[in-house]
Amino acid sequence: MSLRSHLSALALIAASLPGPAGAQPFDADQAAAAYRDVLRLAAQGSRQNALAALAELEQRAVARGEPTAVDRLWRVKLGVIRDLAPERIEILVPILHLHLEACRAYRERRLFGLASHSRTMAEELADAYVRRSAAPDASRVASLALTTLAGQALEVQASQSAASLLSRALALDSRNGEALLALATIEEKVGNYEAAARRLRQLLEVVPGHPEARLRLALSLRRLEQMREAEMLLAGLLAEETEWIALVAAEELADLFADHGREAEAMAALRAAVARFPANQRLHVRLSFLEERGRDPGSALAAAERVLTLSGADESARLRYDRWPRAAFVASGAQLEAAARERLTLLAQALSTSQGAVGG
Amino acid sequence: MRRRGRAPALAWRKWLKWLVCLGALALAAAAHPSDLAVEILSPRPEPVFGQVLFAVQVAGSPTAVELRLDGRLVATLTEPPWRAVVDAGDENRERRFEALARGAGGETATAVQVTPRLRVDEELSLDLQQLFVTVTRGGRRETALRRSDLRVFEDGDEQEVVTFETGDAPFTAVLLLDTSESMRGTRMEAALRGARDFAAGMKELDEAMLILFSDRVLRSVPFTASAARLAEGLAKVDAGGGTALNDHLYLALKLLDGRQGRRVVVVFSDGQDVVSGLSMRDVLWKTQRSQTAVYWLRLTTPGRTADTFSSAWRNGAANREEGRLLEDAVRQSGGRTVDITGIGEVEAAFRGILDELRAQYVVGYYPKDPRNDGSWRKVTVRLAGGGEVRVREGYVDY
Repeated sequence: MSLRSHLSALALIAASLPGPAGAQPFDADQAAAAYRDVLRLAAQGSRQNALAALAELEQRAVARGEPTAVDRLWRVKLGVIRDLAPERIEILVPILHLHLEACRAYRERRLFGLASHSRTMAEELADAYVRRSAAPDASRVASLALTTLAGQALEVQASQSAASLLSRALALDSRNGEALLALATIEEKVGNYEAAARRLRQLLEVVPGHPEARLRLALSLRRLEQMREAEMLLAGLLAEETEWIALVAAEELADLFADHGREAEAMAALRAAVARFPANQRLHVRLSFLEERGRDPGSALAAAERVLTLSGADESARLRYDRWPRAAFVASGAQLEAAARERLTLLAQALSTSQGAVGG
Repeated sequence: MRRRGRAPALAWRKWLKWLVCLGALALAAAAHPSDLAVEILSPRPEPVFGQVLFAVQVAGSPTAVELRLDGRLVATLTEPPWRAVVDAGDENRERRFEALARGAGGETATAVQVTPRLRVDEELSLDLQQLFVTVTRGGRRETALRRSDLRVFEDGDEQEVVTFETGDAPFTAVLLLDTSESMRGTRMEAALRGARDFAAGMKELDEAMLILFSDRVLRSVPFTASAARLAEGLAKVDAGGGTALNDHLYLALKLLDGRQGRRVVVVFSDGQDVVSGLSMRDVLWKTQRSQTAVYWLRLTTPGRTADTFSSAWRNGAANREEGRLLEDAVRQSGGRTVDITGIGEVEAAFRGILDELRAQYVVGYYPKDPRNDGSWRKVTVRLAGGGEVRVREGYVDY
């Protein structure tokens, strides 16, 4: 969504809401002062209070019901930031982080219009920051912001929007491992296995040996009929410490063998996995089917009956594989937060020295 | 298998009070009346079928010995030899033999022998092909056919029908309920009510197993004839996880291999498999080698079809193909797909399947030309006097 269309949408939201009885007309100076207070709270490290104050300011603007109120609020905020930033462009990092957190909070409260407003604000600030900052890690920081936003988009199943954000994140920092993994996962889910494999190979250059990247690459290669490399990757993951990765690797390796008439090897791979994970239901289902295919119905029945004796308390490895790489987004968010924290002092200094010019 | 009998303690106290003046012999006799004991000599704990020798050994002085098979009195003996030949029937199932000896003083002794079912891996190859035939005429089920009204053909060659039973023939079912995240709430509640109705409608010799699944088996109840036991398994279900329909449908079909007689799987699911390791082609392969009818209660959601979702395991196109293969598997098995568009239809759908099973004919024949070569044998059933016949479309001869 472009900034212009975003503002129009917000104006429509605002216009559709009834104004509270006795509501005051929009006062730019008052709004600018309130926004400065929000930023001051953020600069003091009081993020929750800053978020609460920001929500109050923005909800009040929307509740006025004036079609132009949100548009004017936007201009006021940009005016405050312009006033603070010229000499201290690094202050954009804690501000964009604040708006990114506001976006998450609004989504949780199902205030989707304001969530979209915050998201666009964070995106605009990330773009402005990377254009103007001379900091050596500016591209990386902006890339982390876009990756974190993509994670939020995936939480509401907006995978196209997430893919677009991740592509922009990678354009800023091609070594953003979290973005590479997340984008590969999206490509895989829509069946673009070549694109997924390409991203995963990039990730393995950045983080050699990355277990999840090797597993996902193996599966994409299998779908692309590149069996030799897929087999090698899967075999190398059988002893992996992370349980779900080792389980998926064992199942897929057995499946690959069975598909190519190598039943004995398939059976050996599955039995080895059963020996390591005897309480895993799914391995016994797969074992039962292989026994059945191998014309051993008695063993197949025994394996099937075994499934019912095992606990189903934990989600299966295959379901874990199907999930978005939440850990990658958490990691991006944590790195961004650290970058924002480093710049809080600059924000505090800017607020104390600025005169409070107002736009809009 | 040996049980000692007991006389009521209260009665003994009274006897002792009243008979304290009697001689030591009489007192001793009264104090040890429970020497009565019974032991089952035959059958042994092995699978049994047809005519079975039911023989017991009794210690003490019984006035009568009652023999029961699965709770039914099959003989009352008043003098040795304590034995009888009883008909255990031809079904492959567990049986309970019970002997009860009665003494003159009212004391009793009992013994129980349970014979297991024959497991499929112990069976010899019995080539009997069983068909579950549903017949409708003018939209209504036809339930008054005779054996001569149905003719069975295999690859066009008429076969000799050797068994013919009506819908009262017992069935063994697996109730396979999707309890994944997408079923949470009213959908789940309706499914549980429907399954409870189904269980309550089962007859004495019907059996069912319950499997609640998502991406794993969340709960199961082993094969049982007890509606109460099944209902227990349907209480307080917490839906969650992804859907692995293929894996669990295969599991249900395989578990039914261990049973004999009429076998059905009743699947309740939206059919949108997310994480199965097995493909629906694998399940179809199994269906073609099974004598089990699959009924699919398909919960539909407007605007959401198999190709409108994708996962890391299958994209939209692959999911569409999976859905088509599931429909094939259901049709080829002789079952049917029942579309459910609202949760208000769920209970009626379960009842409808039970009604259909009651109205089915179970027809058996030995193929004239068994090849055991893995070839597909096309089966058709022709009906005298017209009407619609639904039956599995064939089987893989192996």
